[in-house]
Amino acid sequence: MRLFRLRNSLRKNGAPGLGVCFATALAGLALLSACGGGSGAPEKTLVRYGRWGLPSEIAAEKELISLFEAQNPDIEIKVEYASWAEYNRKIQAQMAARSAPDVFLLGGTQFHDYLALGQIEDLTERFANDPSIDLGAYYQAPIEVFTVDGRRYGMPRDCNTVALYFNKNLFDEAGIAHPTSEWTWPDLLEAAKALTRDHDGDGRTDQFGFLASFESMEVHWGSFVWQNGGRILSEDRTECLLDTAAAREALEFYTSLVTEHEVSPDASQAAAFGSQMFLTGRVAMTTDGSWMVNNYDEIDAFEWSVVPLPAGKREAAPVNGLCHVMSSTSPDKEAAWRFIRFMGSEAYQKKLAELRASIPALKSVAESPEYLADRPAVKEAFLAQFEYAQPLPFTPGFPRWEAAIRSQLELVWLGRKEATEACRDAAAEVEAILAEATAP
Amino acid sequence: MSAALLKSEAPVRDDGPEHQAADVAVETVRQNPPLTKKRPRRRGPLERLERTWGLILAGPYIFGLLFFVAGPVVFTWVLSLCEWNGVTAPEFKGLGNWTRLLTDGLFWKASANTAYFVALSVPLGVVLSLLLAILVNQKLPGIKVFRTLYFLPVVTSFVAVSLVWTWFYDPNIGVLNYLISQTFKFVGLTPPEPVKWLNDPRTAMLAIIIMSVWKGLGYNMVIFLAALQEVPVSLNEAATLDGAGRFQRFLHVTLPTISPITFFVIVITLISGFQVFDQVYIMARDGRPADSTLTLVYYLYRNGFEYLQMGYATTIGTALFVIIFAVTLIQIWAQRVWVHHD
Amino acid sequence: MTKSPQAPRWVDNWPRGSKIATAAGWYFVLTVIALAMVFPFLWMVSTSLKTFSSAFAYPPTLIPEAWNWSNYTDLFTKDYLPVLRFTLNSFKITGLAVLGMLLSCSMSAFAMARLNFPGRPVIFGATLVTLMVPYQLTIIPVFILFQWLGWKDTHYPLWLPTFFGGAFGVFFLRQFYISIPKDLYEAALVDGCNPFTILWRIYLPLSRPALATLGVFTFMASWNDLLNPLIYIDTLEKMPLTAGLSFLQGQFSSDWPKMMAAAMVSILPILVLYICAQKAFVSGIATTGLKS
Repeated sequence: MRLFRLRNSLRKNGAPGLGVCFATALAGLALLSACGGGSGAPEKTLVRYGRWGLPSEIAAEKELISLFEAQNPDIEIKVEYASWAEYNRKIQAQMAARSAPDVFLLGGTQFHDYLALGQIEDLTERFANDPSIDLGAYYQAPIEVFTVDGRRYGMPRDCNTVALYFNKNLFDEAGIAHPTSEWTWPDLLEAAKALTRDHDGDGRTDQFGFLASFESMEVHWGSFVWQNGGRILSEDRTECLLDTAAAREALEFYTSLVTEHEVSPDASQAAAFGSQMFLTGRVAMTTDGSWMVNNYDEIDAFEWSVVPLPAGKREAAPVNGLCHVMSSTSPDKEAAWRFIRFMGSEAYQKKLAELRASIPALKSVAESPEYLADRPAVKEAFLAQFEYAQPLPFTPGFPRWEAAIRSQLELVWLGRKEATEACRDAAAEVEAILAEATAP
Repeated sequence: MSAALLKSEAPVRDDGPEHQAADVAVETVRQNPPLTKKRPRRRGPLERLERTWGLILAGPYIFGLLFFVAGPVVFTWVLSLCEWNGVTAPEFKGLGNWTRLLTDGLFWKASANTAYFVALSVPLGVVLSLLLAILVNQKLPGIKVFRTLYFLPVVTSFVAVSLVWTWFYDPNIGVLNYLISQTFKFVGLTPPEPVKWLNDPRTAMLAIIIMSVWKGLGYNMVIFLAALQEVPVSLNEAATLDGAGRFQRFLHVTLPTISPITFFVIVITLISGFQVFDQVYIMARDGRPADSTLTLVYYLYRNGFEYLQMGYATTIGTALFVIIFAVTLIQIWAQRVWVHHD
Repeated sequence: MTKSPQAPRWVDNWPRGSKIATAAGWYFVLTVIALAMVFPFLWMVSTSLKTFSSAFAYPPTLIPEAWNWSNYTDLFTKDYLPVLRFTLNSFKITGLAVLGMLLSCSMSAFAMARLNFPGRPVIFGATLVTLMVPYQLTIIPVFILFQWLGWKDTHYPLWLPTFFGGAFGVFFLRQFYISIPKDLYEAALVDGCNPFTILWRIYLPLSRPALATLGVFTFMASWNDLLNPLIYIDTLEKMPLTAGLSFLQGQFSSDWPKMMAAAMVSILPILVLYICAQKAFVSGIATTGLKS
């Protein structure tokens, strides 16, 4: 009877078992205390800098940060990393705990919401009283996006626009002339039709002419509305004008690229794969941002270039930029400001130019011969659009109403709604959201 | 034989292994919801011993529950009555969020989608994983290799798995449609119209369910495997001697013995099914297409973190909690039935 | 009692002649299922070895035309990611989390399963309730709590709470302890053992498969956790592996072959652990011999 033996040994050896257990627990606690302990006494002011970005990009900026620290020996910068996917969740949790980074990177999408929460410091006086800053030297779009009721909240970092990327090889194979800056919608459609192919004849489209999507107003559909003379929101941003003739017509054309002409993959594919489809030669043309040049440069399978967006009744394109903002809960705003100011400086902007990820916000850098020397055709196409490009109509609740438009218009692609109907319903939803989000 | 095993409160009978197995089950049930049932009072010192050691052993956990869990959880219940943007001070709103919830079409849509997910993925997930566990519980040479292979989907992170499956489901270049059309060609039939999987509101949730069941099988399999390991050999042997076949042994010995674990698996799978989020978040952003994959937790997430309506998000979460709570209560009640009495 | 202890139990009831056919049949079933389970994984491996442009070719190929190891080597050299540092962090966090979880859950689950102490039903109820609240709701309150504890930018939020147990683990082990015959406990009690000794000497050894399972699950959950590290940790060098590698996924596009390579690197340790834990999965009562 083994059980008895078990019991006997139990009576003898019960205590050591207990000992082992407590020892383990103690070891755990010891480890705990060993892990603690802070660094030396901080005489320097700590400025926490929150941002997302690829580690390679952040690493490239490290020397700039050491440069800043050398120039400002009383300040220590701590870069706080976040991946893009978790950036907003993290910032929101930090704001709730009153510990948002002193300085952080922000785009227009979330800006109005964070401002409404009282989390963004008003920098108007600092801009006005700092003789070293000439705001006229920057592109105005990012400044505009971060200005509300005449108050300024952001130091412009970069300035980006969206243009038409095309796959030269696919055009050449099809024997079609490359797009030009003179292109209009009919040219786009005609080329897209010629470039939509079923290579192996299995009834499935292997290659699409164009990528239409409602994923992003900025990258995909917004400019089509403008090009047709329409508006997304009214001047005062309280009404949605998608249900007016010009906007409706534009969105009818845009949705027809999927439904009637079948020259673009449908919504879910575009959402799942996004730029992958152009990168892998499965779509011949796509509208995409000037921040994508680096990613597209990885392509070795084909040649590509960029032209300004095709015109409708008029030329139109979006312009947008990221800004550095200061948290309203920052304990040492003077130090934070010095760092923000540094990131608007020529030294920082030049580094940004070298990284090629975005167009620097400082005009003298973006238009310098050094910057334009690399991929001149591409950069000229982008810079040419700055002449007429317009910022997006950001408001509080922007992510929410942008998503409402997306779900309404995707119904057109699923064959569940007519474009006119979708425009009407979207406009109603947007206005309801605007009313709620801007209510005091 | 295992008289010692079946002693205690359950009356011992000698009339065949089935009954004895059932006794184990009876005992299991007795101890399972003892929460409501008072056990017969024991002598003083023994009771004091149990009480002292109970509090010592469960102490850290009780502390953790109070400190790390109870606070935040109760906090969310209170917040469901408030308007809160997640950052500044919440504002009491009474039942405002709740009336909004009841008239919110998307909430009902998300509830229906979630129910569909649970209704399909939970039974499939539990039954298939039990079968899988029995399959790999055999003493075949090389069975460990299969156990490892079946566990692979569990190990892999949801991000990677979701990307792979999104790709599989692609209507144009996806492997799944390729396989389907190749199979049809192989048999000599014309391939059907390619299924649009994630791109079609009718199949999108089904596609996510298939992927989720596949991903979760190994997880429950391991739990069942551990439970099967604890089925006393003696019981099985006795049943074999009594001439019970494999299937009978499974039905009358194995199933009752592992029933506490089956209960655990069902409860956990149901709860996590109701809270489905990761795969929806990655594979079908924003409930695409046409809100057909919008689930309750995704809807909650969207409201809380994308639209900064944390108050409303907690209301959705609390509603979900109420649903799960009700379903779990039914589970606790039902287990008395599905664990065999005579 | 068994006629031939060495012979596989599953063949006992089958006629001798069909044994080989039956075995072949089982292997066939096992293999078909294995293919379905492994295929996506093989696909990941294959993609991780492809170049960016060949990754999306159609018709799809499982074997890359050129084996491209640079997705792996770049991880360690080119991408400014301190991968070794990440790995060390992961092992520290995960090791502590598993230790804490096993220690604390086995103690409290035993108390919940066998010891009659005041408040037990309430605690069991609270355990279930805890599981029912979606974690997304408690992100902000828990963040505020940890911040208040001064755990900002440290590893504590990632492992220290496990020393206070977890609802899943407690519920899981409690169900196992319940299925262990109760008279073992009572007999030992009569023999004068205290409950802790009974747990340590009887219940823990008997529930080895369950402990191994919980250990693997905890390891996995901690190792694959993306959200918590990304929210609580600010310094790149303090990130654990899975979260650290997620930085490769950019805002606008992601290099899938490289992400697959990263995923492969990060799941390797779990696979190794699972294979090692296989031994512990088998045993328990089946080998303890409870028969008289």
